[in-house]
Amino acid sequence: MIHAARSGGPLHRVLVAPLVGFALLIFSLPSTAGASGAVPRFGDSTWVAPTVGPTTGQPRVARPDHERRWETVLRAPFRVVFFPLRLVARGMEAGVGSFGDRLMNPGPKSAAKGLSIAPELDIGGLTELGPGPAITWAGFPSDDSKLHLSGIWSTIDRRRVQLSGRIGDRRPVGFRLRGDYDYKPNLRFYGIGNETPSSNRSVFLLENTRGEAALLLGGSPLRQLRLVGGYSAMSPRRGYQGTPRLEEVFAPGTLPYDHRATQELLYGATADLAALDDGRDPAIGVHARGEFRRAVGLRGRDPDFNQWLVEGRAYAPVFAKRRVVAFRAVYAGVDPTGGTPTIPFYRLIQSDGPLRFAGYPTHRFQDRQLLLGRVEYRWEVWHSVRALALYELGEVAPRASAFTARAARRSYGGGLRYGLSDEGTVRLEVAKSVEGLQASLAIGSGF
Amino acid sequence: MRPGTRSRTAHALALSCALLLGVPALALCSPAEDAMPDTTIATVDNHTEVDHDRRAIPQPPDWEPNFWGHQFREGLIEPLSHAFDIPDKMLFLARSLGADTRREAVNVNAFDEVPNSTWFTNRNHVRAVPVADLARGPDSLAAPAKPWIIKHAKQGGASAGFQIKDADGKKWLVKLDPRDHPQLSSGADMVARTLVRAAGYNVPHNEPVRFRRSDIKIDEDLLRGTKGEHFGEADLDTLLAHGAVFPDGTYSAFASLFLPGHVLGSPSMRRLRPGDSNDWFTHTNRRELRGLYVLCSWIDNWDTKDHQFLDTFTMRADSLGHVDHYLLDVGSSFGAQANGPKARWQGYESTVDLGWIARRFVMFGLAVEPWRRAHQNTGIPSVGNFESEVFHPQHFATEQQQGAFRELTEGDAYWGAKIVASFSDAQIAAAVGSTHFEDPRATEFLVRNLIERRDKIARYWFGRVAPLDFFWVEEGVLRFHDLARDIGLEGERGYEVEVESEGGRVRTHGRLRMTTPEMDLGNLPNGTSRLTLEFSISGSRSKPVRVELMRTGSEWAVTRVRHG
Repeated sequence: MIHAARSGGPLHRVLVAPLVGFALLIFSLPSTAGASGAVPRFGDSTWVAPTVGPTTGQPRVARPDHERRWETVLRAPFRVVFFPLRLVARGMEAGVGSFGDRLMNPGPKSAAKGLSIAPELDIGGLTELGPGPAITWAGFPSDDSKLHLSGIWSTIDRRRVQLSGRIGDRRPVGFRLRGDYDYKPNLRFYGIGNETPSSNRSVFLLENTRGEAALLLGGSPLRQLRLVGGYSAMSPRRGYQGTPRLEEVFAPGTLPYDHRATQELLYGATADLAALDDGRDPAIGVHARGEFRRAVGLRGRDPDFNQWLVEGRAYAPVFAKRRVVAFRAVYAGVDPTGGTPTIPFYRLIQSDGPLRFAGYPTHRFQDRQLLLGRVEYRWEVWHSVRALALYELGEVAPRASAFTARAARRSYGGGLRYGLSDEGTVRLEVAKSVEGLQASLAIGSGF
Repeated sequence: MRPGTRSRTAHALALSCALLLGVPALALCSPAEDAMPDTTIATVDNHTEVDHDRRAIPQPPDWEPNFWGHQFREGLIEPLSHAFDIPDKMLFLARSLGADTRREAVNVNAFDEVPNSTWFTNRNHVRAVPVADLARGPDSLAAPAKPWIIKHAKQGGASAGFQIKDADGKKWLVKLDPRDHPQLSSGADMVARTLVRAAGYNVPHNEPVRFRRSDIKIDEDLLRGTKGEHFGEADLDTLLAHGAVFPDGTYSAFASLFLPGHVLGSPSMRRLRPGDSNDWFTHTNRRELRGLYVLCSWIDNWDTKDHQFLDTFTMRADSLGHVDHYLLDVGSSFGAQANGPKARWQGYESTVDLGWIARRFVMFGLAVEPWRRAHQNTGIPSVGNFESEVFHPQHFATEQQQGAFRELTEGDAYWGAKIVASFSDAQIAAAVGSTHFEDPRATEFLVRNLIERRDKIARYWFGRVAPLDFFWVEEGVLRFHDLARDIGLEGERGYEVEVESEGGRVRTHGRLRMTTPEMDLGNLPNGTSRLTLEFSISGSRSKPVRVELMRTGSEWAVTRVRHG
């Protein structure tokens, strides 16, 4: 009947050639079909399952099965011990079951548009959880635009509001807007310089408000020039949610702009230029980055300075693209201008975020200039997850001539890297330094 | 080691371990997920050739495992759970000491065969399916008549498609072949279904189709969105843009006819179907589901999650009925997947393959996985990534480890290999030909590689378990088949038999040796009514076959066969 359906119309014509080929193939094979088409390999002619004993009615072949009793006995204690884990696993399974379709339905679909509200949770540590709402407006004001506003209030009284917007995403010319308000009552401070002891660890409150707009020239974030302009206000105050406080470690007057807020207008440019085989998981290529911002004090007492950063990344495969040696070098600084004698301690370059020294805590070092060099050996362990072994040298200094190889802070360790996109990675690292072991989980524009 | 000894050793070992750990008796018993079937009516006969699981029952409630929950569990939780499963490790240790701790399949009859049931029907390995039937494909209905009316957009799954009502009023699900790959999914589905059905499994009626944009209309309600679902001309154009187009401008797809009866949902490998009192064997302990691994390894069907199966309820006039079980979607076979050629790792590694993850991690990326060594890129758009050279019958991996596959014993694998080996070259060519590939290279390539993979499977599993089968007594002579010889993998070879009487006392000294697959029972000692014969192959390390005989009067009959 299938042949009947296929025997007429245009289908017939397109099937003639393969049918002829197929027929030739069948008859060219060593074991050809007979006239009846039956091709016994074994069992065909002789085997008949014998029946022994009477069968009545309609029998089943065996009784229902159960786990073997001795196996139940063996497994019972483990089932008891791991019951809580089993509950967790079942709960996760139910959760994934409820939301999986919404998150992972791979069918062809257009990008979601409109206003959506979702919860957000910021995890700042074992004792710091910051819940809050996140509002996204996709498709506003144009189809390839997105506005995102989120806010959290954490268990240690940290308050943060973030606004980000992008218009003309991936177009030759686009626009980006960022605004942050961050009220952090326990920001770490260890002192200024490369030799500050870890025992200087103290906390202070920093209220940081920042807004920046950027004109994006270039569709790819890996080959893009951004003209930026913005505003920044920082206000250091007496911290809480941690001891000792900054005032208890550093005598009044020893830190520039201690307890003095500053407001700046910023303008400048940032750029990325990369030639990579794969923006997400590069195996071969180079990537150069640069940032320059001029800061002009809004009030007479506010300092003027230049902020700058140059960075180079290079990737080379080790006989295969799944094994890569990656290099990264960063040189960043902040230089006073216009007669400003000094830079506020909270506006110095800090070993934090993408500039954190792997084996040291965040904000461990700060000064006017920072040098960071890292080499990684990465290898694929599971799809886009790479394991990595790292070695890093980092140093801060008041000026270029003060850097010495001897004083560099060394870190070595390993971790996992997952490439999210051209712009983002998730990195889990554990690194060791003379000050001990540091673990970190970072999501963002990483190496 | 005498029969039965290993089992007793296992019991002793397991009980010792349990007592050492202070187990509080049997209080925390078996998994609570399995519903207790009604066993009061059916009789049990382990010589039956038909497992009568079509007993009339009321319609069970619709139920299936949650798709994403299942993916999460099988993809991540189960691999992790098994990695840290301490009793499993203890049982593994016991096995290495000689104990037989593997759970044998439960729905196997006395002759080591799976009786026919709503899950499986013995076909090609006991009665060769005619080549002409295979060339026609597994279905007996025509393709959907045009014009088609789209009734719904396709929900779920990776492939693009839609539900239609054809000119004859039948409902079909149309799935498009991926762009630039005409006949990739539809061809794989057709060939795989032809083979899978001939092997014995129930498959749906699918049909490769070609159509033009002008052959389709959208249902008015769907166009207007009056019933809550909207699908417009623009949506159809977007959908078709994901599809493969032949040079003549027609789209390449396959249409799947809605199954007869009421759809209950996919079954779970880990629990019985609620409300189905005929469903009384733990699914992971069903041989046809365990042995399916070997068939899947042959056709490289790496997507075997629970949702690739489907249960339907067939109702009689009295509103009672029974449940049928289908292997629903085998299109992710050979080198294909729903949205293009399969990824190179698929079929060689599971999605979360802890073994390979660990190996790559500790070897700093220097480990070379088999799929990297395999030359899979055929360069044939309708075949995708497929090969037979690096393929290893025991290292085939499904996307997620399937519960039944995890319980596979060598006896189950032998059974599966027997089915795979039963396909002749001509049958394979006929099954591949059922698709009518436009690209003649596709037909030649698939036939050659399927033959090579079949032979690899047969050599491997027949090397693990002696392929001596289909025992019968004729005029006082016990005859059997050496399957490896039957299919030309081996030439003349000798066989050895160890004979035991009913009580386990060995009546023969040493082993009997034979050069042909037959044994004269007249030479056996008199005075016993039951004998156990252990057949092995001279010079082979394959596991022997145990055959039990019973004498009634002067006639011997085969009462039980066990492989591996």
